[in-house]
This record gives sequence, structure tokens and C-alpha cells, in this order.
Amino acid sequence: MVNVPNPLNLQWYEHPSLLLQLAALSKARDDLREHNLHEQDGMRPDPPVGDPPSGIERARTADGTYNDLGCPMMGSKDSGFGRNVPIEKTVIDRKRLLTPDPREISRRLMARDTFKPAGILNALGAAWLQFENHNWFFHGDGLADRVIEVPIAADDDFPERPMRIRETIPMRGDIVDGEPAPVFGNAETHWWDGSQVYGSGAEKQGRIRTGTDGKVRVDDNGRLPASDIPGIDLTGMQENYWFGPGLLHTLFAREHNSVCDALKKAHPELEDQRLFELGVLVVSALIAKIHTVEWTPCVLRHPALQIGMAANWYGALGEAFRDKIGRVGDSEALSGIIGSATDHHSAPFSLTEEFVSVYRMHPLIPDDWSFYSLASGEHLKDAYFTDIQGRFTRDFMHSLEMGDMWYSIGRASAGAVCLHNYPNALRNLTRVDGQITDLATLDIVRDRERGVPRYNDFREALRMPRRKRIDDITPNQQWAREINEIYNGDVDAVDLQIGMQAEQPPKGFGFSDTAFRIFILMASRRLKSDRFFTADFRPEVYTKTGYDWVNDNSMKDVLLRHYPELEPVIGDVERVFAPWHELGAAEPGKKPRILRAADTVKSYLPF
Amino acid sequence: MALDFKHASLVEGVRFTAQVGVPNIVQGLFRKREVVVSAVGRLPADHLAYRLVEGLEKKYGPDPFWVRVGSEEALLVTHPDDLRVVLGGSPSPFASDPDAKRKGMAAFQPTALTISRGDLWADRRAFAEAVLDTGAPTHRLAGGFAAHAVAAADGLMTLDRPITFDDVNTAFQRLTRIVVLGADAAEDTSLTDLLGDLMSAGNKMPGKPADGYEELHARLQEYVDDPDPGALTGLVAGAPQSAGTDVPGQLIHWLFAMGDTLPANLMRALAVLPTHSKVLGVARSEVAGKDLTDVETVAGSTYIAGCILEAMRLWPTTSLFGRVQVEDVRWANGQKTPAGTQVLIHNLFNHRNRARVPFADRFAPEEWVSGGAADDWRFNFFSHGPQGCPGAGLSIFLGQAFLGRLISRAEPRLAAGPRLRPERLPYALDIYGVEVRL
Repeated sequence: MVNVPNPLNLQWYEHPSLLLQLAALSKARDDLREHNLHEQDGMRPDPPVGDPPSGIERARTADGTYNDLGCPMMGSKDSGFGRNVPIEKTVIDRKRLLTPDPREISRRLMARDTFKPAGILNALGAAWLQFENHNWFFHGDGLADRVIEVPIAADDDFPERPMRIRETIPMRGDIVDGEPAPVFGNAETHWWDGSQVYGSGAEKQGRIRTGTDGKVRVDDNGRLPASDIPGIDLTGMQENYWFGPGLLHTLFAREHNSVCDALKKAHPELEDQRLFELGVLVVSALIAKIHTVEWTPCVLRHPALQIGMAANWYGALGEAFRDKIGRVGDSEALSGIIGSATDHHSAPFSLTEEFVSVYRMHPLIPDDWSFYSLASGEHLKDAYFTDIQGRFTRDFMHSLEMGDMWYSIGRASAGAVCLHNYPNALRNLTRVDGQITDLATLDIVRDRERGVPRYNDFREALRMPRRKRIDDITPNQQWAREINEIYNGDVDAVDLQIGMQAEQPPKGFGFSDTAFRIFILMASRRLKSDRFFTADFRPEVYTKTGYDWVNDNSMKDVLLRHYPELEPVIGDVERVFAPWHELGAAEPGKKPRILRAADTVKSYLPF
Repeated sequence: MALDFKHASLVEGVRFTAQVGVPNIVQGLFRKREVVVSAVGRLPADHLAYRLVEGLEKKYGPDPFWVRVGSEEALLVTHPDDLRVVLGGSPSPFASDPDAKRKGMAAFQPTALTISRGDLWADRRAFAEAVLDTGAPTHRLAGGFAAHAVAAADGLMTLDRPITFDDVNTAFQRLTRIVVLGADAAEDTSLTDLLGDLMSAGNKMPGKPADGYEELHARLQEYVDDPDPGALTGLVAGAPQSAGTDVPGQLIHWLFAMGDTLPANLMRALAVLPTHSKVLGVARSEVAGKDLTDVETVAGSTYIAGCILEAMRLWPTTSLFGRVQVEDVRWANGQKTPAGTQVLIHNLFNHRNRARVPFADRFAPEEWVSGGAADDWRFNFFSHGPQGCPGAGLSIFLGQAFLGRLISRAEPRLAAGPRLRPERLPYALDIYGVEVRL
């Protein structure tokens, strides 16, 4: 991409034309790749001694090792999170861990007053993000006797005093006040490898697999089997479970088995292990593709992103060209990242603490849910989020047909990622293990605890302008007043989460430009660093059947394959992550109003 | 893409039409045109057709895929799992009356079972099964039929020259008339000629009964009205039927299948046995010194049955056949094909699929005796599923008695015909160019 001069220091979306915006985005990503990939010593366990196990060239391993054959532990389960800001900017300030009071921030800035719908994204899109996060990262369960105690005010009705939040346990070193943060480990593999479906590690995968024809466990009714955790399905990632991820975990377990059927049909000689490996390759690539070319352009409706994300996957030449002609040389710009050369850019691959932070998008989740019959359209019941999650999940899911749940989650709008829209159910959440938590408080504490810079420092590290006053963060004056009160007018003290949720996103965006900077760097990096999306995304590794499966299928195809009864509500839908129309709402030849609205870039903007 | 099967390209469609579709039509869909068949046989047309479909399947399979035939796209089905869906789902949602077939068959058997739908199909199917004893170990008139088949074979052995297809066909047409219509029809060659003329007319796909159909129907009605207790007409009265059954109309298909198709297969078996001395030895030893008018002996000659089935597999008399969807169908992986979709089954490719059939190009009767061939939905000369040929058992029985008698009394040698390489048998075997010395 041409390097366009930028004398006015415009942000990428402020440029006057789409081409200039694309050029600025490309430059921003190049700069981020150069300046915002950092890691510390001791990020990875020592590599195993001796010869590597057989078969690593052709398949993802259960623990994420050997994706990079030269650095086998890169991105593996239990390796450390990297950083997007320089290490010296991750200094931990224990004295201000609870300043300003995170529970007060939760109550006064974050608590949902009325539900603000995102408009452009449905609740399936919200569930999708959690489904994806469960693939990417988990800091572990912590220890019951190492907690941060958050004081609870006298007028606060939170059921426990104080609120206890388990500390994040470093994988190496200790948290030392005034020093850069130690390395925290990821209990999941860092790779985009479907580990939410299959589990990270051989032991977990062993429980998920059937041992026959490469398949994973799905019961005779097409549902996931019960696990030993009450109310939770047997699946790869079982934390923070609710019916939305439940639907998606079920869908992709079934998709895996369909892929295995197709592979066995084409290659009857293949045995369980190889069929499983191929199923993992295909399904994880398909999930990555859906995320890149369907979910992301749905939540980021800016025209530059419509092009930019397709370009990540297909390249500037577009999908039709790729399908007909194939790759053009090894150019990422022309033919996309997929199938290009692997490149880690300025640091070995790992997900980052900042990546975890910007994906704290809990306001996407509605509190109040309505369920409808897919057969008749009639209203079946309402439910509060508390009653469709955690230990209630399986009972709830078994009280409804899958088609009814899909239809209901597809119809519902996600919440807008902004202040005063944090689900109250998550602000008083009893977890499966009995811990009672306010996730909004926790979101604030986690960033502080792990040395993620506050909003202004975070922006500066990404070469975004610092905000001089709190009033510059948001055009919403009411919010600015409230933030001023909480932070005593100190703009540099504003937490990252609060800044991001107060910020006005670029036109058509479902989240802030600040979050987007991390996103555009890491979204492409997850693809570009992964051997199985780059050099080894080819029929020789995936088989022709598997390679074609990734290229030919979309989220709608996957849904209709397993739930053909959804045809009346998604048959004419282009974006399955935008709200679906009501049953029978479509007139012949005319799109329902909600689809017409969904095709625009009009999202809910509280400004 | 929305859930759909892959599409072969326009150029591939043109090739498919030319190399698979057109040869099937110019050779005659129902009655093979001798001159054309021989001419086509000298060209490597079947080989080219196989190679083309093999390449397409490798590129777009193993799922069904769309290929253009003329101006329309049809769905070509090659994998046994999908064949099971199609043939197991006949006549609904996969009806066996694609336009071309219905238009052609209308000339000489407009009320045939295979082009019937719905209740009428069930009615005619029940009638056919009752008369043909479908599913029974042997037909209740098998003893008499075996004696007639043996007599037909003996007749051929009295000829003082190598036998040709015309000899076998003539003998078999006579046998067929006796089996279906009774002893009185033995010399009614004009009836067979009339049917032949109507079948030739069917090649042009007129879409309506050809001139002479009424006469054929009336003459068959006479045989039905005066049934022979030793022939199939003798069983008509005891079979379920209704006003819509049209008994004479059902007999036509049996005359056609038994009198034209079976002798072609037997001729090919006879042509291939002399070049397979080991196979011939096993087959001859199976019937050596045995009485082939004995029902148990005939039915027990399974290796000889394997020889006939192998000739049918290697050189299917219907190399391409079709179904048409009467409603939308969603396949195992979610692909949806609309009502009206033409589904094609290319027997020549499926039977010879080198990638999947280990004995693809060999003559391997043993696969039908102890292997899995009999359960393989790839092999569809008798079709499979609810519309599987109701007369398959009887047909093979007649073939066993006939071929068994011939090889128990004589050692066939090839007097004229192509030089066959046992390890790589050709895709076409022109029966008009074969002469066998007994």
C-alpha cells in the first residue's frame, strides 16, 4: 500500500476518501506490527528434548505446540501472554489498584439503566464473541486463598461484603508494586484452533472425542452430552457458559462430525486420528473465516472494514478471483493472508493482555430475553440472563427446541458497547463454583492488576492522541460529567474500559477506535502467524475435501446444514450476525425492514 | 455459496454432453442400432466417457455434482452413499421417469412400471412382484423355465458354426416368449419383431405410443386371456391388480428386459470366458455332470451367476440412467436440490471406478460369490432399492441355466472378436463383432 503523507495527523477514518482510509489503515497496521508487539523473558515453557512427535507437520497439536516448527512452544497452552505496549509501560500500581473504587465505577458508570441495543449486531453475534474468546484465552481459575477484597459501600446491595476477586496468578515471577507486570499464562492455546470445541490438551480432547471416525461426542438428539459440571455441556471450554455459546459449541461439534463424514467419504482409508486432525484443521479454519469475513464486517460496518476484512482473508483481488484463479504469488496485499507465507513480524506469536482487555465487551449481552417458536412465531417465554447461564444452562436448553433458541437469539439485538449498558445480571453473578462477582468491577480490576495502561497511556502507546480533558473523551456531556466526578477530573486516571465505552466509535462501528487498533493488529496476526492459515493452508495438508470445505462454506451454510428449519428466517439474510427478521415478515422480492436496516451502517449511538 | 453441490464448468458440460450424453442417444436408448454400436465401439467412446467422468469425479466428487447436459444442469451421483439416497428414495422423491425416458418408453410401453408414479406405481409393482416371485429363493415355475433354457442352449449347440449374437438373441427371444407368454407363443416371432419396431421408434423419444402399439397390446391381451399354466401368464389371475394395472402393458417390459438385455449380457459372458481359462475352469467344474433342469442345481451355481453379473457390471447395457426429483431434497450435508432436478447415474463409471473398485477392470465372478459386490450400491444394472428390478432373480436364474448348460457341454472359444487383456478389460465389448465356437 502506498504511504500517504498525513500532515494534519488525521485518524484513519477521518481521511476524505475510502482509498486514503484504506491506505491509512494499512499504514497503521504496519506501524502496529513494528512497534506494538512485545514479549518478556520466560514467556514459554522449555521446549521438549528429543525428536518431535510424529505427525506435527500435518496437524495442530492438542496443546498448541509445534505450530511454529522452529519454536515449538510458541502459542502453546500455558505459555505467556505478550504485550502490545512496551514492557516498561506495564508498571503495576498496587496502591491505586482500587482507586477510584471499581465497584463505584460499576454502579455509577457501567450499570445498565435501560437496554441500549447495538442494532447492527444480533445476540448471536454477542454469543459468537464469547465463543471465540473461549478459543483464545483464559487466565485460569486462580486460588481461593489469594483474593483482592473490594469494599462494598453501605448503600450497596451487593450480597457479599467485601467482594472477593481471585488474583491472577503469574506463570513466572510475582506482582511487584512499581515494577513492570510479570508474565501471566494462558490456560488455552493462543492459536485459532477451535480449542473451545475440542479442548486444550490431550487429556481434555480425550474426553471430547468418540474414538471412532474422528468424531466428537454429540448425543442421538444432536445435543452435546452432559459433563461432570452441573448444568454445563461436555465441550472444550466450559467456563462462563450460557445458552448462546451452548448453541455455538453444539453447532460446531456437529459441523466437525459432518466434516469427518465428508472426509471419510472421500478418503475411506483414513483412520480416527487423522480424521480428527483434519476435522480440527477444517473447523478451526472455517471458524476463523466466519469471524474474519462475516462477524467482523458486521460489527464494524465502516466501508473500509468491509474491504479490509475480506482483504485479510481473500486479498484485494476478492473472493471470486481467489476461487477461480488461485493465489497470485505470495503477496498478502493482493491475495490475502490465507495461504501466504507465515510471518510473526516483530515478536514471536502470542495473544496479549491488551487483546484480552479490548475484548471485554460484556455490554453486548442483553439481560432480558424473549423466546419464540420457529414453527408458529408465537412468544413462548421470557427469561432473565441469570436463569439461562451457568448451572441452569442445560435445563434451560432442554426446555426448548434448538430451532426456537436459534431463532430467538438471531432476532434479538446485542447491546451497544457503551457506558450504562453493562448487563445487571453479570453485575451480580453467582458462578458455578459459588463465587459471587460483579463482572463490571472485575473488568476494571483485571486491567489494573495486570498492568494494562489506563486509557490515555494506552492510546499513547498506540500512537493515538492523548485526551487533554475528560470532556474530550466523549461527546456525551452527561457521561463526561459523571466520569469527571468519579475520577476527580483526572483524565489520565480514566480506566481503559471506561474510556473505550465512553468514546464515540467511527461511523458504523460497534466498538471504539481505541479497541480497534488492537483488533486490527491482532486479528490479522492470529492468521498471519499461524502455519495452518498461511504456508500450510493447502490441499496437501487439509486434503482437497477439507480445503474446499473451508473455502465453500459460510455461517449460514453451517446453520442450514444442521438446522434446515431456519430457512424461513435466514434464507434471504446476507448477514447472519445482524438481527434476523420475524417469521413471515418477508414479502416476495422485498426485504423485511429489519434486514434493510441491518444492511445500513446505522447502529445505536448514544451521542 | 449457499449450500449447493459443486458445478462442473461450461466446457466440461459440453464435453459431458458430447462424450457421455450423445453416444447414449446415437447408439439407441432402447434398441441398439447395430451399425452405430459397432462404429461407436471402434471409437474409444466409452473409454473417453469413463475418463471424462473419472476426471470430473476427482475434481468435484465424491459428493454429487452438477454437470451440464445440453442446456440444462443435471446432478451426477457417483458415491454409493448418495446412490443409496437416490435409489432408496425412488420413486419418491426421486421418480424414475425423467423426460427422455418417459418420452422414449411411451412409444412401446406407456404404462410401464418404471415410469409410473404414486399409487399406480405401487399397484403395478405389487402385480410384478406377485407374478415374478420377487424375493423368493426361486420362482415357483423355475423347474419348467430351466428345462426351456436348457433346450435353448442345446439348440445353439446343434449349429455347425460359431454362434453370433443374433443366434443367442433369437434363441433367447423364443425362450422369453415361452416363459412370459407360454408354449403357444414359441414361434410367434412377428410379435417380437413388432416390439422391436416399436422400440426403434422409442429411440426418437416421440412421447406417445408408436404406430403398432395397439396391435402389440391386443396380441398380448390374447395371450393373457388364454393363459399357459407353465408361463407367467398363468400367474396373472392370482396376482393383485386393478383397472389401472394394464397387464399386457406390464408384460412388454419383461419381454424387453428378458429378450433383449439378458442375451446381450450372456453373449458378453461367453466372449470373455475363453480368455479367462481359470475362471472358465471353475465355472465348468461347478456344473460338470450336473442336471441343469434341476432347480436346486441351477440356483446353486453361484459362480456362474457371478459370471453373468460380472458381464453386466463390466459392460452395462444401460450406461447412463436418471431420476427426476419430484420435490426439494436436502442431502446429508445440507445441500438442497430443487424439485425438477435431473439426477444422473453413470453406470459405466460407477461400475469401473478404478479408485474405489479394486477389481474394476477385471472379470471377477468371485466378488459376487464371496466378496461385497452384491451389497455395493455402485453396481446398478438391476438398480437398487424399492425400484430394484423385480425380475432380477428370475433373469439370473434363466441365465444360469442357459450358460451353465452351454459350458457344461462345450468349451467356448472365441472365433472372432476383440483380443481381451484380462487385467485391463475394455470399456466396450461389441457383441455384434463377437463369434463364439462351442
